[in-house]
Amino acid sequence: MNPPRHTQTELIAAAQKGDKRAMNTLLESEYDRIHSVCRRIMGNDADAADGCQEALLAIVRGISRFDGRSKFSTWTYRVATNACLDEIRRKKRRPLPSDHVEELPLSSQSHDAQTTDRMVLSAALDQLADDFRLPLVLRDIVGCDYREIGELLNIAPGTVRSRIARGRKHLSNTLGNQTDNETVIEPKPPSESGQSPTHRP
Amino acid sequence: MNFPDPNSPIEPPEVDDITAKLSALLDGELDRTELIDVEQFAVDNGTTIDELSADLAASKVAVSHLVTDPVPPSTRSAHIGAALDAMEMPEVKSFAAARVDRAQRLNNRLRRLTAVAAIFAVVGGIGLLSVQGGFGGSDDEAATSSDDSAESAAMLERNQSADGSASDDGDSFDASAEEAFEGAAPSEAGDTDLAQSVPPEPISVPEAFDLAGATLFDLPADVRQRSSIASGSSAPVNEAICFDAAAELVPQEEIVEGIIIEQAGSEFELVVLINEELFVFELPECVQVD
Repeated sequence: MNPPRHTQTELIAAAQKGDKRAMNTLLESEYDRIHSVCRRIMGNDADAADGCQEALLAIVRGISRFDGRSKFSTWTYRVATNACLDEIRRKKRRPLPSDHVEELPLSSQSHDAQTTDRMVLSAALDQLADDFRLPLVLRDIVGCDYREIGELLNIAPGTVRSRIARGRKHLSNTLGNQTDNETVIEPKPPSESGQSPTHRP
Repeated sequence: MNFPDPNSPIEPPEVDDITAKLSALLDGELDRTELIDVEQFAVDNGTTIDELSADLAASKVAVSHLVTDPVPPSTRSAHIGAALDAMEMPEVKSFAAARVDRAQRLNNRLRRLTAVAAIFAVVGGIGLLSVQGGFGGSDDEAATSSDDSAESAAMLERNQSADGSASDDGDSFDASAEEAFEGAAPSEAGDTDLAQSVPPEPISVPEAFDLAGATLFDLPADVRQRSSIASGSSAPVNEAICFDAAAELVPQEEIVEGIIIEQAGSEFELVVLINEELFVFELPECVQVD
């Protein structure tokens, strides 16, 4: 007979009373997303591990303050984001670029297009300066609106908009270049000139 | 020719106003007026908003899909395990607090006993005076006897207060009883009691050992095991002598205990923090050592 499944609300209530098994279940369910957010905010694997650990600790310590007004996943995102931003401020240094940068394949022969695309994008995102990476991550991964991002990063919403646009354009160009350089990647819709990629390996 | 540092962060170039608006449009952050501007731009250029923003949209979608990065199982279990362990941390803290509470309760009990003893001394002294008065005894002898009783009470006081604030002169029985209640503030009494229960005996640390920047787990094993964190047991917590000095540097709740060591003829206290880092203070003045 399977053990009874608890709703998330029940698990949260139990965790708030100190039930470690309930807390474990909640953390297990949210871990991947939390780690992913931390990975993108911190910019490299080593710092992401620290950031993720701090985020989980912040969630455990702050669970009693979760009042159910937002989704639990949204709340954990916010807590994780703040924990990682604190970690960045604490370290007061720019995270090292990801190891992925050095591991980038020169051709797509051994990887499918999606994986290569993702690695290129990951590396490009990691290489972005914090000022541009953080708003992008908070918008496209965490789902914050511009006002929230502005509050988290202490910048004006107009600045948030500008930085996201610049970061997004940069990534778009990077992906575009990659597309031009990879024969196996599906070509983007033909441009008006109808020119084919000119830089092939 | 200067090549860019591959590790230096990239600051993307400025984008034009339309690109910024297209990007904001994807995020649902464009107002009506701006949307009209973008639509007009598209019409003027013989295209559509969707076409104009296709690359930005692809970038946005690709970034949002990065959320599915895999995590090594070992990292995952280590992270979650450490976080769950943190749920027990308040219990560790409350253990230390419980010791203080217990010490204070013990101290209160001692104070009550002291008071009772003082009352018995008063009653006994009066009775003795009466008897001696009835049989022609001297006041001096009565005073001496009552002094003995009061001194018994005072001895109890001394057991609870090492600062000598409790009176043992026996001049006044009432004073003795009163001092038993007021001789020491509860917190002082509690600290003293703890200090007495765990006498800080310095552990010798080799002169070559560099204390600067050391954490709890860098310390020699015999020193480390003095810590309740390292021993992992409910061994007596060594109350930090330099607690106040440490509390100026970190929140009080982060201070776990103090370990007294001797190095090169000087005594130091290693104040252990809950994150296993240490503050080093030179005794007896609690001067922090960098």
